[in-house]
Amino acid sequence: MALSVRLLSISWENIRAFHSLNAPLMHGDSHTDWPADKSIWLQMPNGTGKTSTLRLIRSVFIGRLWSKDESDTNVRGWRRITSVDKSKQAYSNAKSTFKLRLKIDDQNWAIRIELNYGANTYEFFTHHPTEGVIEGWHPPYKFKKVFEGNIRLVELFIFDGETVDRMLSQADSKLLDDAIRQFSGVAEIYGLVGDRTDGKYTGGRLTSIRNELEREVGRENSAGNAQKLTQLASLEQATIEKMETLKGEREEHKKQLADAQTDLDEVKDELRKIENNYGKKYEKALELQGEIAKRRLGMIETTEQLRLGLLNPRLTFSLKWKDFVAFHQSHIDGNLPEDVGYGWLKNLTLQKKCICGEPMTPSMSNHIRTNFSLYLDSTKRGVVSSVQSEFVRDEPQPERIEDLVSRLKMQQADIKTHQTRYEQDFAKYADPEVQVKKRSLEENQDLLSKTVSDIEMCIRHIESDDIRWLRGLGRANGLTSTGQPDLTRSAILAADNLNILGRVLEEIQSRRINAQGTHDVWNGLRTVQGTLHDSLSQLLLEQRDFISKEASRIWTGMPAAKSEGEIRLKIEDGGLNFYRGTEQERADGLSGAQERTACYSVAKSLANIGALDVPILIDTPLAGIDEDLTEEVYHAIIQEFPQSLVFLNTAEKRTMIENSWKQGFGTEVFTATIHQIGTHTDGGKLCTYTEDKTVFEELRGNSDTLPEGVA
Amino acid sequence: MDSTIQRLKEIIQEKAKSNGLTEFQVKQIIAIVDKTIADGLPDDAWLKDKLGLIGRRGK
Repeated sequence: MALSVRLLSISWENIRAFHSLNAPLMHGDSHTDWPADKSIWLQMPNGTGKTSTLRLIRSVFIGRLWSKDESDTNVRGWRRITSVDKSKQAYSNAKSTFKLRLKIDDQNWAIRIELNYGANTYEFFTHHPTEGVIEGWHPPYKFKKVFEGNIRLVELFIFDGETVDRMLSQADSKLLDDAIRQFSGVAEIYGLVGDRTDGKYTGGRLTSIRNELEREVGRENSAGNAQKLTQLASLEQATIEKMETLKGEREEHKKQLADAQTDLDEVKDELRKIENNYGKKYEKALELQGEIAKRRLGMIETTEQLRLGLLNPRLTFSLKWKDFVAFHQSHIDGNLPEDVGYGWLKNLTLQKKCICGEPMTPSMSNHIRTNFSLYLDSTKRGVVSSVQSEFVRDEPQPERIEDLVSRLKMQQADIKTHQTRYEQDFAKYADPEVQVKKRSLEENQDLLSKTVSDIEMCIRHIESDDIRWLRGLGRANGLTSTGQPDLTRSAILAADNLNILGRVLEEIQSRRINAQGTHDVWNGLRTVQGTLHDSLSQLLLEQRDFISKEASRIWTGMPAAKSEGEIRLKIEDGGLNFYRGTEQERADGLSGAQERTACYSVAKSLANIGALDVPILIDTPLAGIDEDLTEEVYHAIIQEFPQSLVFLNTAEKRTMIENSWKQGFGTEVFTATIHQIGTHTDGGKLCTYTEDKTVFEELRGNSDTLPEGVA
Repeated sequence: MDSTIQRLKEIIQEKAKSNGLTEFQVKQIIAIVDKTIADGLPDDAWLKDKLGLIGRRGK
C-alpha cells in the first residue's frame, strides 16, 4: 500500500502572525505550487509563525488540532495577534483559517481548518479533487490509515527540536515501537491484543471480551463454589495490590534514574569540554585517544570470543567429570542458550570418548542417560542440541579459554599504559585546577554510572520477563519450581516481579472463569492473546533490527556520521541508542548534528517500511548545531527525502550562506522568505511571502526588517 | 507491508506449533488476523465464536 504525498502550498487567514497570506503567492485565483521534488528552505524570522505553522500542518495530517498536551482542547491559542507590542497582548476573535494543499497519489487535495473562537471549536473541510468541498477531514483512505489521530507519530515526519529529544529519550521509548507498528501494516492487530504492560494484556478488543467474562463470573456466583470463588477473589485482590505496590516502587526508581542520568550527562558534558579544550592545546591528545579507542575495540572483540568460548562445550567440558557435572548443575543461571542440554548429552553418550578424553564406558554412558535430568533444568529437557552438536562436528579447534583470558589481560594492561600516558600528558598541559576538576568529575562519573546501573537493575528485577534470569537470581517468587504460578498467599506477597504476578493473576482469573463455565471462550481467549502477543513481540524485535540496520546504513552514508567509522544506531527498549564497534560499546558524545541526522535516518527508514513516499518538514534544523556541522545536517535533509520543507530563521540562513551555499545558493534547493513588512490596520503584523533571492540573502537578525536598499 | 503481514503469520505458525496448538487452532487464529487486517476489528459475536472454537479444540 504505497502512499505518495507532496506539499503544494499553505494559506493562512487571520491566524497568529498572519493576516492573510498564501505561500507561494497566488496568481489571480489560481494557486501556485512549490516544487514537488526539491528541498524548500523557507526563511521565517523569529516571530513570524514557524512553530504555529508546523503545528497546523501536523493538525492537517492527523485530522485533529495538534497540541503538545493531548488534553488541551482550547483553540483560543490560535487567535490572530493584533498587537506588535509584546507587552500589550491583544487578539482578534474573528474566525481563523489554515489551508494546506497536498498532492496525494498524484491528485490535488486541500484540507482546511476553521477555528471558531466564540464557540471554542474547530472544523475541518476537505477539498476533494473531484467532489468539491466536503465538511470534515476526509483524505484518501491510505493517508488516513497512516496518519489519522497519530498525534505523536506525525512528529516523526514533521520535526521540531522536541522530536529529536523524544526519539532519544527513555521517557518516550514507546514512540519508535509505536511508529514501527503503525507503519508496518499490522497496527490493527494491536487493536485486538492491546499493549502488554506488567504481564497483562490491556486495551484491546480481546481485553474487553475478557472483562465481560469476568463480570459474568461476578454475577453468577453459585452456592456450590462460592467459597472457592471467594478465596480466589481474595487472592486476586492481594495480587493486584502487590502489583500496585511494585508499580509504585518502579515509578520511584524511574524518577531516581532520570535524575541520576541527568546528573551523569552533565558530568560527561563537562568532562568532554575539558577533554576538547585539552585536545586543542596538545596535538597528540587526539592521537592517543584514538589509540586507546582502537585498543578498547580489540578488547571488546576478545571479550566476545571469550564469551563464545565459554559457551562452547569443547572448551568448557574439557576438564574433569566433576567439572562437567558442575557445569550442567549450574545451567539454570540463564546465561547459556537453551540448546545446551539433553541433545548434546545424548550425542555424547554415543561417542567412543567423552569430551574430557576419557573412554566412554557403558557405565558412564548409562550414568549420563539415567541422570541427565539431575544436571539439567527441567525446561531444557527435551531440547535437541543441534547447535552444540555442530560445535563438536565442524568447528575448528577454538582458541583456548586460558589463552583468551591472558590476551584479554594483556590488552587491559596495554590500555592502562596508554591511559597513564594520556593522563601524564594531560597533567603536563592542563592547569592544576583543571586536573583537580577533571579527577573530581571522573570520580563523580564513576559514582553516578554505578548509581544508574544499580537503579536500572532494580527496575529490571521488577519488569523483566526473563524468568530464567530471575530464577538464577533467586527472584522467581510467585512461581513453583516447575514454573507454574504459585497461588499461595505467601508466594504472592513474596513475589517482586510484575510479570510473574501477571502470570499469577492470569491463573487466578482463569480458575475463577473455569469455576463458572464459559471455558471455551476463555481458553480460546488466552490462547489467542498469548500467541498473538508472543508473535507480535517477535515481529517487533525483527522489525526493530531491520529498521536499525536500514537507518544505520542511511545514517552512515550521511556526512555527519560518515566520519565516525564503525558507528551505528539501534532501536531498543529505551529508545534510540548509538554504538561503536561491537554491541557493548555505547557511543557517547555524539554531536547534535549526528543525533539529528540519526533521527532523520530513522524517519526515512520508517517511511520505507511503510512504503511511504512522503516529505519531511523540519523546524529550525540548525539551531544548536555547531556552525562547522551545519553542512552535514543540510546534506542529510536534501539527500534522503523526495521533498522537504525547512523553516529556518535568519541566523540559520546566514550560517548556511557563509558555510555551505556561499556563492550560487539556491541551486540545489528552492528558497523563499516570509517576513514582516509592516503593521496591519488591525494592529498585528503584516507579513509577506517572496521568492526573491536578494531578500532571502539580505534579511538579517530577528528584527524582521530589511536593510536599506533591499525591496 | 504485505511482507510484514506474511511474516507475522509465519511467526504465529511457529509459535503455535511450539506451544502445541493444533492445525485447526492455528487456522482460526490466522482467520482472526486476516479479518482484522482486511476489515478492521471484528465484532464481539464473531470473535467470541472463533475464540470458542479455539478454546474447545484446545482442551
